[in-house]
Amino acid sequence: MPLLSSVLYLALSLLGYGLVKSVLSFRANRDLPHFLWLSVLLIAAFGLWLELFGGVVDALIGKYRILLALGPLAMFLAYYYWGNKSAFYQKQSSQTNDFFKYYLSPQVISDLQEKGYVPIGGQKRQVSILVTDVRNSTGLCISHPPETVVRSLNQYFEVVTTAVTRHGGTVDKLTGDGVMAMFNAPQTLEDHTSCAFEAARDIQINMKTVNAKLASGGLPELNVGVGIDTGVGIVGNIGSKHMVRYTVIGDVANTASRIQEYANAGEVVLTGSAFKLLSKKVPAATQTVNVRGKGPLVIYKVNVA
Amino acid sequence: MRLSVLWFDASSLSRILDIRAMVGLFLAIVLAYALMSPDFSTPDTLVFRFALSALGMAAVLALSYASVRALGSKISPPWFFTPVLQVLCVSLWVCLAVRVLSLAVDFAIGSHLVAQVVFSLTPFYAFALFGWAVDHSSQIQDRRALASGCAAAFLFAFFSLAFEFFAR
Repeated sequence: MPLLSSVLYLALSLLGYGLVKSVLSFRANRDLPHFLWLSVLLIAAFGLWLELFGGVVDALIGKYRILLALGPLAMFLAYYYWGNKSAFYQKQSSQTNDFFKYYLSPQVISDLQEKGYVPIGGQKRQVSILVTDVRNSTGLCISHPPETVVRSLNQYFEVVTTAVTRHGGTVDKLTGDGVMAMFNAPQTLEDHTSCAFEAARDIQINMKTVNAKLASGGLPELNVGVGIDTGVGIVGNIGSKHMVRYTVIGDVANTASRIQEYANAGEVVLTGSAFKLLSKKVPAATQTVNVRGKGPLVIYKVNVA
Repeated sequence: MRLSVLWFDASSLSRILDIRAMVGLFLAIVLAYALMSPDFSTPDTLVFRFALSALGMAAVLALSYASVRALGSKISPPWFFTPVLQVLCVSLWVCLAVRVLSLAVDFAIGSHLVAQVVFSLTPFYAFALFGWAVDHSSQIQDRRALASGCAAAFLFAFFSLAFEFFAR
């Protein structure tokens, strides 16, 4: 290659890289200065390429060479159009995600975003399960109109979900007036039992404030019991191709649900396995109870309110 | 390693450290480059081309790393070379495939011009992709990153010219 062509060849390699950088910058910023840079580099690179390889281009398309000038313009317009379209879809997808975050677990949304589908399956994992329930909710529904009960329940759900999220847990499901939350899945928590206990303590403390507000507004007070168990369960996307939930399946979930029945208002009940894993020991009263389906079990009652 | 690096998707740049894989990638790069403009006239030429590709590519990579360090990057060699080798390997093999395809098109239509036009574009795409990979892997910002990418693209283009000259 002659010297001049070699110099042009090297210059075109730099222009090519510059063109890529300006396309990427324009994609990120979409403003006039980046647009101008992109246009200048596009024209310069195209001109240099024609200067170097114009002979071949001429031989290939002959007198229609002038049409090549439209190429970069067409490419740019196409890019601009698709860029705007994808930005529109991204905005729409983000709005959809904001909507579905109230209905689907973060893990399911993340799977949908990354893979386009939710893979069904799970993994064995040690988790702490926290279950809350409102005492005498059936009586409340009988003695108060449903609108009043719902207003009270919404405040209780706010307290529970806030406490769970604050301590790194994930709300698994709302079951009527109950809430089930898991710790150490999907987010790994080193001291998940203590996190669950701290969340339970927050719930009971904050429920006192909520109850005071409810009473002053003439709404029924809610007495909440909390149960915690730590054990191994299968955590993952459980369900069918029609409906999937990110949840935990195993004895640990059932036990937490059963023992919360023994918690009075302001109390947190833990199983032996959960109580032993607490990093800070707390005073607790032990009680042997006959858990449905499991037989006698020692539970630890902590009064936190 | 994902093919989306071909359209400059930075999230596809893998940083999995594996020395054996890096050696394999380097050999694949050399093979792809030597096959870009094959000259099977004599076995001696063939061996010479492979040796020249290997030395040239090693020099380009080493000089790119040196330029990145000179521009203030603190990145260690394995963290730099892993993504760069992967991008280079993918881009060269894809360019090779495109060249073979354009030759096939030429053969089908009884011309040699389509391949020539394609051959005139693929090197610059490979240079730009290499520059971008070095720019991203250098982990430096703004103008210094731009300079590192320019230096890498220039070095690769220079090697490409020198290879054509010496391998003739």
